[in-house]
Amino acid sequence: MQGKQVAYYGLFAALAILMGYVEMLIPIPLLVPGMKLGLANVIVVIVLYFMDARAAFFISLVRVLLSGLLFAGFAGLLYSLAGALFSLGVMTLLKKTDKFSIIGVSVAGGVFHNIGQILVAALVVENIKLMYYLPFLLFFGVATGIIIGVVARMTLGYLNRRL
Amino acid sequence: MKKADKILILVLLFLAVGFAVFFFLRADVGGYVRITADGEVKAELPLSEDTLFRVETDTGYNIITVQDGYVSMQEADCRDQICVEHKKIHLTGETIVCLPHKLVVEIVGEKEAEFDMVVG
Repeated sequence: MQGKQVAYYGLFAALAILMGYVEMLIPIPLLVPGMKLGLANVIVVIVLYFMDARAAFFISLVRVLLSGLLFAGFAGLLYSLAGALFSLGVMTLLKKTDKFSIIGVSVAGGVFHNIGQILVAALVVENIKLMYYLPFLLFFGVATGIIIGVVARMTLGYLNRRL
Repeated sequence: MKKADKILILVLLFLAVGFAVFFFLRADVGGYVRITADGEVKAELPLSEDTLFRVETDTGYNIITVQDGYVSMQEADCRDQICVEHKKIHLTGETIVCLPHKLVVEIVGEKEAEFDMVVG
């Protein structure tokens, strides 16, 4: 791995952790369990386009593990991990088809992040009824996914000019 | 945005509305509240009676209140307190979940209370 790559990994991992922290500071009304803004997903989407899927995978992994260690505690780790990896997997696939723009990829990422989390939660409490909240999570995932896609696209334009 | 993006967004929104309609058509004011910890039913309480119910698990305790037909989590010693901040519930299918304690509080209808819908 080249020095430049190492620096990018470190920089983006740090940004992703920071975004997760900023998100925790924003009080959002908790209407639904599992509802999140997914700010850290901005960084993952940027990495997916600016670097590659491999980098996005490792940065997601580092983010989830370190955020768990630093702020959230390990109890929530399983949900975060399931959400993050599920979301990244779907985003990578959609990006590979080349039919979707960054906005479509980001929307799918947002929605599947929520679905991944709720699936694991349903397994842990052994109750499929959690699916009751699926419509809210779908709707919310689409909304935040569009915003995140737009932000990521703007940032990428800047990054590609400067780096 | 490409065409595929718009299709994806429309499909997802359509699914969201579809699920929402499906759930809300089925939902009415429930008859009972079922409290499940770690997949095991701890209690089924009628919504018509105001009660306080305390559940002890290996991981901690939760106190559930039933008042005026609404159910809420009054107190819990879990780390995230998501269950305590959750709005009160009263429609069939609504749930309050305390993930750290693997506890589910759900509203069930009169008839449904006879069956055990827990999976696994």
